[in-house]
Amino acid sequence: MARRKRDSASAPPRSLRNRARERLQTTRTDVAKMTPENVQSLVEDLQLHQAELEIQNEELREAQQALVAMRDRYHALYEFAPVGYVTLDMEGRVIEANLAASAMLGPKRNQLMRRRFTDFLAPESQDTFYLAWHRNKDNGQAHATTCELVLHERAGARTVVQVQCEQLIGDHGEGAEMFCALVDVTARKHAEQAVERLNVELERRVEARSATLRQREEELGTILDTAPEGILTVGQEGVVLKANRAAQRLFAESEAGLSGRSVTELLPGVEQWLRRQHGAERDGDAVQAFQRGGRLEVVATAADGSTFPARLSLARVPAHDFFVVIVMDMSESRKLEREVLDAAEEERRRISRELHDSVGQSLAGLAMMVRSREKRLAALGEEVYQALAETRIGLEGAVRDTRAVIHDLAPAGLDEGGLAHALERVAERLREQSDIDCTCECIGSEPPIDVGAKLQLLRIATEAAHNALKHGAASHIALRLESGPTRVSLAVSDDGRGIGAVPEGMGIGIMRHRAQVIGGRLNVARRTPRGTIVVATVPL
Amino acid sequence: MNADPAGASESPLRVVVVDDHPVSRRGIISLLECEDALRVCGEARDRAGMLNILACETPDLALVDLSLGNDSGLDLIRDIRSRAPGCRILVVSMHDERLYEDCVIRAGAHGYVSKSEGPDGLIEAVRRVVTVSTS
Repeated sequence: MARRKRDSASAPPRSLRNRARERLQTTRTDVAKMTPENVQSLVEDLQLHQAELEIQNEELREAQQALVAMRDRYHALYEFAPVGYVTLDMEGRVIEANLAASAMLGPKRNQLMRRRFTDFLAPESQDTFYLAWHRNKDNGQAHATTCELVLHERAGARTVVQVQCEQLIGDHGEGAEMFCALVDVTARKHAEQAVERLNVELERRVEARSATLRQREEELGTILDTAPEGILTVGQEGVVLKANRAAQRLFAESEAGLSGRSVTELLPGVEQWLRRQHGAERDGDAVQAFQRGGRLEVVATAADGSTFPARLSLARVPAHDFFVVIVMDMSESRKLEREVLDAAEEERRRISRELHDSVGQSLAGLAMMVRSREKRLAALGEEVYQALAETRIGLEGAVRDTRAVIHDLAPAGLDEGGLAHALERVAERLREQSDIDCTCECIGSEPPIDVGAKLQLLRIATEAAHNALKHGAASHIALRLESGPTRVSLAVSDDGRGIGAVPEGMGIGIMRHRAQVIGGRLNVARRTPRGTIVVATVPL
Repeated sequence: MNADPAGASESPLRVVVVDDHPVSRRGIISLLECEDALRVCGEARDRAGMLNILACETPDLALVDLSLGNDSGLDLIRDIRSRAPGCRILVVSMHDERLYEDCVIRAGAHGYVSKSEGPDGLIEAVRRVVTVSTS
């Protein structure tokens, strides 16, 4: 706002008559010396001036009326403006105030006059106003100064006003008056204070929540890092996001080294599982099964290339759209399970030997004794002969049964004839025991695995073949052993009803366990158009 | 064994039975004693017993079990072959015939029969071994 000047035209005018007399004395012409023609001309001029003056006078009256109307209008605007206007003299006393200012300051307008403006300010605003006043007064500020002032409490209510002060400059450049515009900002201040209080409360709550979250995060981090199992967080793309300390130890790699790695590199087989889960989710029916998570046995690969058997627990975290994979190192467990299986096999061999050396021999000997008696006592009559013959036949059957049990307990020939020979014996015995067509094909040399592992493969073959015979109603069973440079695979396929036609029993679980104990894997699948194929694979 | 070429017209074949199991050994002997063409001239339960018999007897036929307690039937076969080259050897065992037959034949035995073949199977095996020797 530009610096204002008080209008000098408002000074009281001298008398027009006096001024006219003064001018006439300096310009007077002696009328007596004028010719009648000149006098006549002068009178006409004067009459013309008189007419002009009358017209001017009318216009002035009209202008004056317009000015009065404008003044009244201005006065109404001033008086009834929602903003308070106060004019102070240079001593800070009120010399003018409109109605809004009067309402803000308190007293009636006539009681405001000549009172110091600071009388209406709360103590805490005295200095503020003083500074603002002097910035304008002493420094001749070209611009208005704005400040916020608190007025004295009235009826327990505090009023806050925003004050804009502007100095009015007198004719000689000195400060004449101070014009102040007051805007009641109490409601705005209350709102601001409420917002500030809310902000403080919000910040307090955020801080408290942050502290809780930090504490939980620390607790979770401690739990994760002290967990004995490896825990990997895997994104939807199958990329490792995080790894706890146990996982870093298992995979011989830092978290930074594991982050970003494909989970397939670390845990072959998991990606297929994840894909299956995605597929199941799309199917809709298997969503619940998917959300329950799953377990998986794989051979994990560490950063240094070493491998270890691992049991995985997999679960999806729907809220964050990632998977949690818990990795348990099964090396010790596998070793123990292997020892248990080996001990069980040793016990079977012991029982088999016992049967072989005692019961089997006795039965065979008794059968031969009875046969010899048959020949000697035949003369005693047909009845005696028949009785002895029946006894002998029963004993011979018992010998065969015992021999079968001995073979089942400890399949003979693994040491002497190798796995191929033992598998041939399995096929042969199946052919003997049933009408089934059982073939055996062995490709490659004898697998370079220990006898215990061969025995487990043999047991898998026997179990799978018996399943095909008993549950699958197969008419043909094919055993196929293939020994390659990197792995040994044993496949048992049949043309029966196929897996799924009958519930998967303990048999498959035991076969899978046998394969895992010797470091391998077992896959069971339905064949087309019918039948089942069981494949045990052991890496070399 | 009546149809045996080495029948009653000639002196019966002298047979030794080596089996560590007494009931089994007794059964085999009683079965062989029913055959006119055969005469059991000795029995042993282990390798040492058989070597003692061989010290004073020259049997025509030896029925040998593969399992002889702590001794191996295969070792005994080699002993018999070296000490009584004319003695025919039939291995009688509870073991899987298909698995061990080649093995015992390579060791010097002339035949193999499983005890699970029964009494008639045993006599038939004896006949085969003796027939081959006389033919």
